[in-house]
Amino acid sequence: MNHIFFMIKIALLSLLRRKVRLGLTLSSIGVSVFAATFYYGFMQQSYWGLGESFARSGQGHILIAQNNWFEAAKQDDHRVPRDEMEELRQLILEQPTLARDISAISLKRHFTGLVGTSEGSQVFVAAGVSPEGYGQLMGWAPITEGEPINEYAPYGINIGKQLAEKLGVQVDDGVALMLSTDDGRINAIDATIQGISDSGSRARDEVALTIPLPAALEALASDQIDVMALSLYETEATQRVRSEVAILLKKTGSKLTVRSWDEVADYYQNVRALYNRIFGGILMVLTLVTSLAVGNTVLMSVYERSQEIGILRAIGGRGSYVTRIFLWEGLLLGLMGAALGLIGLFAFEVIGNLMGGIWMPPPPGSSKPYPLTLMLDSLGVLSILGLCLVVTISAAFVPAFLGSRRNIAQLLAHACAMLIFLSPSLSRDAQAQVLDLQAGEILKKIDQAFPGVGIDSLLIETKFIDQKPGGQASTVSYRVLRTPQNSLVVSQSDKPGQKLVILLNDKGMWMQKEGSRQAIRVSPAQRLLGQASHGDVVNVRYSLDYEAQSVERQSQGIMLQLIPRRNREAAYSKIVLELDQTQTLRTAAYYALSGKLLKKALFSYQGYKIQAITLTDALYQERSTTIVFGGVKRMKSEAGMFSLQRMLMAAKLISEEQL
Amino acid sequence: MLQLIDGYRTFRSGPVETPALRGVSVQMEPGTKLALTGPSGSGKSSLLKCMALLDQLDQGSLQLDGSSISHLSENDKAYIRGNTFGFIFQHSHLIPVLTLMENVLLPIGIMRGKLRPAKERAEFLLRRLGLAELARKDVRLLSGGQRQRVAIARALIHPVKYIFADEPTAHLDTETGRKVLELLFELSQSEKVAVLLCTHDPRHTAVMDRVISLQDGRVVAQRSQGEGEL
Repeated sequence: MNHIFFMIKIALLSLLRRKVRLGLTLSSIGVSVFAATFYYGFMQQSYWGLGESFARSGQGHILIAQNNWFEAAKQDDHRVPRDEMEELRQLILEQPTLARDISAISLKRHFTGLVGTSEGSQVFVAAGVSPEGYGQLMGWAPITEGEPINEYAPYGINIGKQLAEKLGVQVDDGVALMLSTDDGRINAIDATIQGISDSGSRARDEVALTIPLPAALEALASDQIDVMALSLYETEATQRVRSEVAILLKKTGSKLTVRSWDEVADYYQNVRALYNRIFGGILMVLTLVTSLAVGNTVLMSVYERSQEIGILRAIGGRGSYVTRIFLWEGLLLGLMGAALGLIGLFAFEVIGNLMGGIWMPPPPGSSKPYPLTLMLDSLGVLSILGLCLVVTISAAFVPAFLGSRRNIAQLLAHACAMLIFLSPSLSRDAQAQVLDLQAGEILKKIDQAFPGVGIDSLLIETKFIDQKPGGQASTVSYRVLRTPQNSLVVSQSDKPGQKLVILLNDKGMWMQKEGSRQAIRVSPAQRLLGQASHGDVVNVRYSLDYEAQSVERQSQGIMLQLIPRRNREAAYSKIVLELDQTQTLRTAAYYALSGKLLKKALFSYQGYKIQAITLTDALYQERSTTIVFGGVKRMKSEAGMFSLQRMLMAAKLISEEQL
Repeated sequence: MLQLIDGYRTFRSGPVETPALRGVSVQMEPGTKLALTGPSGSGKSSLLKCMALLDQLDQGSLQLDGSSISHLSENDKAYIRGNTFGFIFQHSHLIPVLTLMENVLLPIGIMRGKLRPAKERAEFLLRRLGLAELARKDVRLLSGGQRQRVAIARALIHPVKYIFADEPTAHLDTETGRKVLELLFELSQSEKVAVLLCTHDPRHTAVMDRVISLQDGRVVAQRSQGEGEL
């Protein structure tokens, strides 16, 4: 368990280190989960609503009819005598397992004709329905005026709202129905408008007419029934009831066939197929967005944590161990993002309810707006969450896998190893070059190129060759005693009284001429100008006082590195280094805190050590000073040698030292 | 004994090939202190990394107690690094999101060791290194010297046989660097662990059992303790 604890802790806290990036990534995942769950809930609600409206608006949940009635184009030849249907109804109601699920059984006979008043007539599509089951069968096509058909009004009919408007009739008005009987004769009966229904479907309500079955059979001069419709208390029981009825029909040797409502609802199936396709498309887009967000986050994380990966592998971690840390990151991102998405969805629902619900405009073919509701089931939500986690983990895998298998030495050097990821088109040679650009290493290499590096108390001889305008040059030799904290510079002039001593310690910088009584303080601003500043260039600690930055490749193998100061010890705000192909410092530009260029330096080498530095002041470009390094030796020093009081005495000792 | 025989390593940068190691042979006996010195670019770090299985030799053989380990699978190398080697780098390379104690225990977590005895050992090491009171501290708040001492504790949390230290004091001031190295040598001596130290600083070599000087990827001089200056 220990290794899992470490993995999870590293993964979680590493994610939390980059809060803005984490927030953006979680937002992407959250929005994706919100959108997928929202659409899923809306889709399920639509399926349910459509199915219920189909089953409870006259169709019934279970249909029993002649074998070929469902497919035949001309259904007249495939009807069933009413007595046979009544016997079957009785048999079904005697089955206790069926009877408990069934709310009503209706026999139906469909026919068409004209309905008219003295003012005109309209086409109708009628269903003759057993009046005792009408309420259950038509539950979703509510009667908005009057009453449903019933056994107490044998010729009372219900018509659709739009049909009533066309005819200009109201409840209790009389109408005449004209139709063809089964044997082809024209017949007509008088009926009374008992109720007006509004299913929400304009096309349907323009022709819908419902009439009690006995009146319908009388008008048709027939005893033939189209179909028996079973209404169920719960739509979810449909498949179970269907199976039991099928077994019952088989057992009794009946030639009738049973179908469930969804098997005959082509429109429902088409809508479902369309919604499923749209949902699939949406899921694909959301998957892509989430993958990119998570992949990018993990890629950046792998890049930034190259050294961490290197150390984990160095101390015994296998590549798979490192990969798993990043997979945990993917998993945690998925979990947090999914939680965010679901919280957002919950908030949306709550706010929607507080606002009195969100209403959608009427769908095509409908005249009623409907409330936006989401139907979420645990399986669906869990599936979306599962998909989210699979996507986030998968997206994390590729960068994690590649990052964890890089060369450990390169990872530890924190080279731009991951640039290879980002630039797969780089050639192998170019990749090798990129890996050589070890920013921190370069600074260290520069520090080590200065003479006497590593010696705590060092005496070094230098020559300052000052090149003036017009070709005149003057040379001054200096001896420098240097410790990590202090420097004492002594000019080596043969002329009496011309010897200059410069002291640099933790309190500041002073100059004193031989023979003078008092040292003059050199202000920090003066230190950065003119001759006094040249010593500062020699004292720059590139790797300690300046931030290693990535290296920018220029043409012909030249590389630039900008290093900003990282502490108060640094004299310059930044230095721009120009390196050659072997990552050796060739020139450097030093900038003041104000951002102004102060001076440029050109470095010359003997072997790998710096031999000379030529400095050009930005303000006096016509003048240059070349510092040439001479002999170096270890020299014992005491703290007192770097005090103002003893600096001249110390200078004498330095001058007398054999080099 | 850890032994590198005739090791070669070349880095390629565009058309330029830079040989880092040219036929170097080094052996490291258990419990000894070996220093690698030489100018920048002489191949010290490359040699250390190849011997520590952090980098791959182009040619040559690396043997641990007589068995070749240079051509083992990555997983086998990881096992050896985790159980037999310890590392201290220039930058302490601590995991910034873990506490000091967790950083020390990290190798145990990685190698699926038992945490309870390891904790006792970690507490012992931190006491010796003067860090016991900082055990729960965020490592980002530690000074450079403290971080290097944490790295020493992490290197020794397993009963390792060899510690590889690549200029561990390069970014420390002289006094802190001296103390860090003193602690490293003191602990390695009491734990009978061999130390391979890369350094520029001649003062550090004075206390080593053996000093190998490299230049241009070759061993140019060797001396054992008491044989005088290089």
